[in-house]
Amino acid sequence: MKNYDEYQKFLRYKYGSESFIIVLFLTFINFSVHLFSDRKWAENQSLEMMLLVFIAIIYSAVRMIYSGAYFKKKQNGPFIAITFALIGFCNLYLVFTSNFPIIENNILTYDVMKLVSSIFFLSLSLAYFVRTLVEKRLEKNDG
Amino acid sequence: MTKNLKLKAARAKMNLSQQELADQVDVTRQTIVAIERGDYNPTINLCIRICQTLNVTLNDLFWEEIPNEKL
Repeated sequence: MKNYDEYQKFLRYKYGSESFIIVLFLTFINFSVHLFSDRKWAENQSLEMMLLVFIAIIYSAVRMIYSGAYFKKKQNGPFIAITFALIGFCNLYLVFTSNFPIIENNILTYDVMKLVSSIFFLSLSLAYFVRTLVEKRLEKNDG
Repeated sequence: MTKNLKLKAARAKMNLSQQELADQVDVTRQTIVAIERGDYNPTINLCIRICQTLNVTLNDLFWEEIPNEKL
């Protein structure tokens, strides 16, 4: 956590705690689904956990980016955000050109991870550019 | 938390934008915004750095009078 200022550290701890609670909540929901029905929604339990954890990761990363706590002061935010967007679009391209289905027999397969990672990277870059536009408008008002 | 209008006024007096003040005290602009809005209470070290940059005392920027009813 070096090179983050105190407010950024505060926000990172806050969003990290919130995402941990989200993971606990989703795990509980998933456990309840398995307990009360034989419903299987992913290939195996490891994939289920990965997807649940990814939801929490996306939540905390997007919130950090939007509140300005993701990038260090000296990091080149625009360059990294554009790189994220490119990675997201590449993953999206792989999803649509893949011969392996994401859903098979009403169950998510491991290929869903390409879709999830494209959503992850695209949502980060989108959050960054939306935040940049909002900040420019705020900067004009506040001076 | 209440807004810190004294900080905003002191910054305006020095003709500093939020970004310029943030650069001088080595924080992000969002941190200065959060302090001015009252969304974040800075540590004493940051308070001192801000006061030194704006050439004011801690009392000038961060002291709050407690209303008589609460005493």
